[in-house]
Amino acid sequence: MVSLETDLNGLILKNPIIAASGTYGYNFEYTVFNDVKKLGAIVTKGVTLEVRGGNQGERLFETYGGMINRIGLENIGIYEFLKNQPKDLDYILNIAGACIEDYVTCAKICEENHIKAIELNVSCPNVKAGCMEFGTDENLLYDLIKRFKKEYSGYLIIKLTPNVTSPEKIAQAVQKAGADAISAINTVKGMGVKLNFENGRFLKSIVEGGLSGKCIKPIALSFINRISKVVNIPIIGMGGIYSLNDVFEFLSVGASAVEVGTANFTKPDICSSLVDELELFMQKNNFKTIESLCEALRNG
Amino acid sequence: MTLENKNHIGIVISNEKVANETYKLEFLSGDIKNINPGQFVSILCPNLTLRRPFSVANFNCQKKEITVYYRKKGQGTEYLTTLKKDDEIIFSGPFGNGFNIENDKNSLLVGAGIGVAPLFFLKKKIEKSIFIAGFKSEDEVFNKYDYIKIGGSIVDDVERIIWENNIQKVYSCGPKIVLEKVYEICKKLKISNEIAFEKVMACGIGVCKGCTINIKDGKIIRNVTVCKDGPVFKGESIIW
Repeated sequence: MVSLETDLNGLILKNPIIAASGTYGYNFEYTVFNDVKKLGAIVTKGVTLEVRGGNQGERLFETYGGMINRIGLENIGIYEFLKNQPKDLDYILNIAGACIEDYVTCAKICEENHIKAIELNVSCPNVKAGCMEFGTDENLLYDLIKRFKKEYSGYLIIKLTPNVTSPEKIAQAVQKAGADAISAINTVKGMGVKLNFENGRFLKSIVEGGLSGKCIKPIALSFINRISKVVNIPIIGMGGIYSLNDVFEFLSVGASAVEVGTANFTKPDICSSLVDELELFMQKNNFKTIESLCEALRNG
Repeated sequence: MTLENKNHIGIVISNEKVANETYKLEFLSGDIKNINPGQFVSILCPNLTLRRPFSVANFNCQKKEITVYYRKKGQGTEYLTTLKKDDEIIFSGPFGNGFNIENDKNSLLVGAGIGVAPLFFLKKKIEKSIFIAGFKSEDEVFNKYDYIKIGGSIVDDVERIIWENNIQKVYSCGPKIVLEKVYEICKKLKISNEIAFEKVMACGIGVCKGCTINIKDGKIIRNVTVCKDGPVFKGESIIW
């Protein structure tokens, strides 16, 4: 018998495969594609204190090996989410905010409603105010986490942006402020330009937002490798995971679990498939626990 | 409650060129039970991140055969042209809400270019209808219609045909500019109309909000997703 149980230092998941925020809805929506209950957890679409309509205009742009999105945190708001909280589903609530007060109010609400685990989005590149500002300034981020933790006693993951010059400094601030884990990376700032030459002039359409998918995997691996050297809280790795081998690459550079995002659009049943493939690999190759697999991957 | 599985493997029956850059793809659809006109399926294309959505142009429920039409335009449709009989395709769906069929009304179906595709399916399910289509040039024409306009705009004929045939409902699909003009005519003549919309989309089930548009719902403006709440909308709800 193998055990896929993954202990993230306080948060125990049945396996290390997690569906990433923004790609999986709030609840059981992906049941039409696969058995959602099989996953280690799902991270909900980011919710904010108030309902948000998101950005106007084109929101998606496919690019080589990935896509750019600028959804702009369209979401139902935390109160609406709480009315229909997922039942019998391991989920992590993703929270975003425009200012520190928004985050703190959400922290209080989550505490009152016994939300078990939160992923704090301090890395969305697609909104005008807040969010990524916190994730790019270690002092702001430290204060935010401290204030959040004052109100919220559950498990707290901080989702980091790769759009920084020193990932190490940011990660250290997260650990020092007392967060339980880091997830990384959020999307990479990018731009898609489409040109059409018609009737003697160029027609241009532009989508500027967050780049995700296969093409960002090397950026993600480097980011995780760097921060894993300076912190000892668990890291949940993500960025372009499309296969079991990709999962292994992330575990080998210091991640303890992974999130799968954009791949859900390409292969909507990928998350449950990865759970099956991981279990089969461990059985075949005599890895009894995730820890032993991670250890083997890290020691290489 | 058991939800219908939306992951499918299809087997290509045929894939033939029917007009300039235009193809007809037929495939066995596995375990799909029902599809309504206006709904779409999304096909996985190798090396592409997003699946490509195609309106269903016919669904043979007994034989479990789906027909789609596509125009070779980019990498996704380029891949589709390479498919041969017995090839496997991975697809998902059906997605979205189809047309709200009102069989007691005299209906007009207005298609432009590849936008005619979902209307073939609709035509089969509708009793009293006239199907008109517009194409840019002769070599783009495929299939048969009650009236065809080549070059120029099919929109120019819509009002006349509505009057001549006592049309009570209009269904349309095609470029946005055509849809908007058809809507304006329907608004002027106070005729109910539905349009099938197009948008780049990702998840297909309304969760990622990549294909959100604003619509008018009475006096309220609200967000809807083209993939789940659409792709068919009432003309008057669209903010043109």
